[in-house]
Amino acid sequence: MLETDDFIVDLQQVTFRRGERVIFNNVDIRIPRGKITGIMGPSGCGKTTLLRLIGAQLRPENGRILVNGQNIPELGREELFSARQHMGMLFQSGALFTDLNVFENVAFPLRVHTKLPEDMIRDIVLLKLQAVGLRGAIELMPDELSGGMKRRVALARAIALDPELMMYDEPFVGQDPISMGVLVRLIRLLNDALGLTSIVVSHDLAETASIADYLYVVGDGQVLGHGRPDDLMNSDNPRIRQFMQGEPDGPVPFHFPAPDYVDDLLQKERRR
Amino acid sequence: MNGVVDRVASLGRIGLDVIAAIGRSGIFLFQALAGRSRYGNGFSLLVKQLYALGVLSLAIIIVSGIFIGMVLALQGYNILKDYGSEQAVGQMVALTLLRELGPVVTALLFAGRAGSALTAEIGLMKATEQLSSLEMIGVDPLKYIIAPRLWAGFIAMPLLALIFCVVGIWGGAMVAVDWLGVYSGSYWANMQNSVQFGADVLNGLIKAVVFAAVVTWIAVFQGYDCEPTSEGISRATTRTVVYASLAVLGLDFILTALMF
Amino acid sequence: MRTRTLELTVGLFILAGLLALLILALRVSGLTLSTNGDTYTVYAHFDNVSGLTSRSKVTMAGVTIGQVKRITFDKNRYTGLVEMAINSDVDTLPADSTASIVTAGLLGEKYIGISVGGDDLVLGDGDEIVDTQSALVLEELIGRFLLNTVSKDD
Repeated sequence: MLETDDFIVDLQQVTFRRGERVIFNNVDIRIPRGKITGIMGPSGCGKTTLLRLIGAQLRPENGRILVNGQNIPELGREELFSARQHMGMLFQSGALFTDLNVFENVAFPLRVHTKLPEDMIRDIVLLKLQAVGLRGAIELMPDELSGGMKRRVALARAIALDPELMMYDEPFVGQDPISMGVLVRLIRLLNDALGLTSIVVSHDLAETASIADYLYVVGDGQVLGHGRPDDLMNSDNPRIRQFMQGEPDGPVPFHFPAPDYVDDLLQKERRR
Repeated sequence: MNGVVDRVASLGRIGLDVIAAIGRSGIFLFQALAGRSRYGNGFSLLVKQLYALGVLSLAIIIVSGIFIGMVLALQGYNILKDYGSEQAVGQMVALTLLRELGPVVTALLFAGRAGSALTAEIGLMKATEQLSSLEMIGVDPLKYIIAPRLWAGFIAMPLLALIFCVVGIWGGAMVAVDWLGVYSGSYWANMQNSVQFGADVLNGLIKAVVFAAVVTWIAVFQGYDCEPTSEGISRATTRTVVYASLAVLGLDFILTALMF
Repeated sequence: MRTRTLELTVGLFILAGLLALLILALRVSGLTLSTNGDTYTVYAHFDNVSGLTSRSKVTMAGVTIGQVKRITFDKNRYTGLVEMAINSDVDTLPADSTASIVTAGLLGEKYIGISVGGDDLVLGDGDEIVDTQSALVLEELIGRFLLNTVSKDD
């Protein structure tokens, strides 16, 4: 379906369980290099888990997760930490270090991983902050920033080391329309300008569909479908259609699994 | 019948959970301390934590030390007076502080002041995904966040215990000599004759080092292992103080039985 | 600049801790840095050394001139053998001096008091004080006192 066969991330038959619950069951997902791939699905279907699997913060029960050809779950602690230097992740909360100001937050990855002189670090930090439009906020502490600004600073920090792979965990949640627009533009811009590969995990349909080159829809521990946004919109799979059109009831039921309503009521009566 | 089986089963499950937690904390400690920090600014991280754990605990340690020394002298004087040996009060104050109260009370205060703060801080970092984000930046939070805090605790608490003892002995002297009128020469001479550097001072110091390790370990692990919610953090903080206090008192008995 | 003050305070804190250890060593436990080196060893046998411990002081005319290094049991003579380290500037102890175990106060600690003899020979390293007086055991004393009273009554 895609014209490329150059995949930066390749999940092969990945199974992951949390306790008794199966989050992923034999899932295959491939992320094309240089593109923006959206991972969509209802809340709680394990989209964030997917990013954590790729970042090896979680280990799958089964299957291989290849990033640049390396099987991530098999790496030792040391190799893993160096592999992660090529990944950037934008967390839902931003996850800025609260005891450091904006400048130091963005400079942090540079300070730990490089031996660059101070003025060079300053140049890079200013460059990255300029890219997200927050060069003026350099002296502020994280708790002085709004939610959207926090996320942009976190974005600047995530791209400080020029990663090959950027992962966005629900970047649009809780944003006002303006900062949402800013983020959408930034993700697209950074992806094209820096030659990144981006994975956007989200359930915000319109925004994700508008920037993604390719979409995966996951649910029930399965990949329900994948393809270009336009193709998915017109999919004849009822589950995909329910999600893409935002219908409240359908293959994904409105009700959480429960015993029969009438029985439940009668049982209460009887107990009394 | 079924209820009994259930209860036994749940008891077994709790037991397994406890053993698993001990195992996890052991692995955690090993991973944090094994190998050297590769992050160039390891030293400045340690200094920062020494400040947070040591210097900021100094006030409470000094004030408590003075008061405990003063109370010991007062109580000791009233008891020893009946035997006409009130000049032995210095010896009593010093031995009590060096062998028991110095390390134990310092450890308890340290658990309350610094340990709970450690747990809450690390728990909050976990809840706000700062630890995850460190991992994704390619920095091992065990090395970058945990290790300096462990070392700082190991170093700061014994120093605090030493300061506590000195301040307490001075507080005791204040009460016994300046207030109750024990001859200052016999206060110090009795002390010097009965306190042995190896048996009392060093053993007390060993106790303090052991307590420091245990309290810091518990505090840091509870923070790292906590459920990343506000409830989870508050529960972990409580657990730190409770577990650390119990561990200190239990270990104190064992160490005392071995040493003295 | 802020890191500088941080480092300074932490430095002061560590120094304070080490100073505390020093105070505990010197002022509280009375550890003297010059116990070894300039002393010589003198031995004495006592019938009873009860109450005496190593590091008890050795005095002459009330002045401390050394300390007890070790107390062992002499299995040939069934006595306690006390090894004393005497400061080497006190090098004129007559060979026939008397060593006795005395008590500071009624219930106080035990120490060794040396009374001067008249011999021209002086004690050297490894010599033994022959004339000794054992520790006063309170129970024996009371027993003897009671016995005396009883026999007087007869």
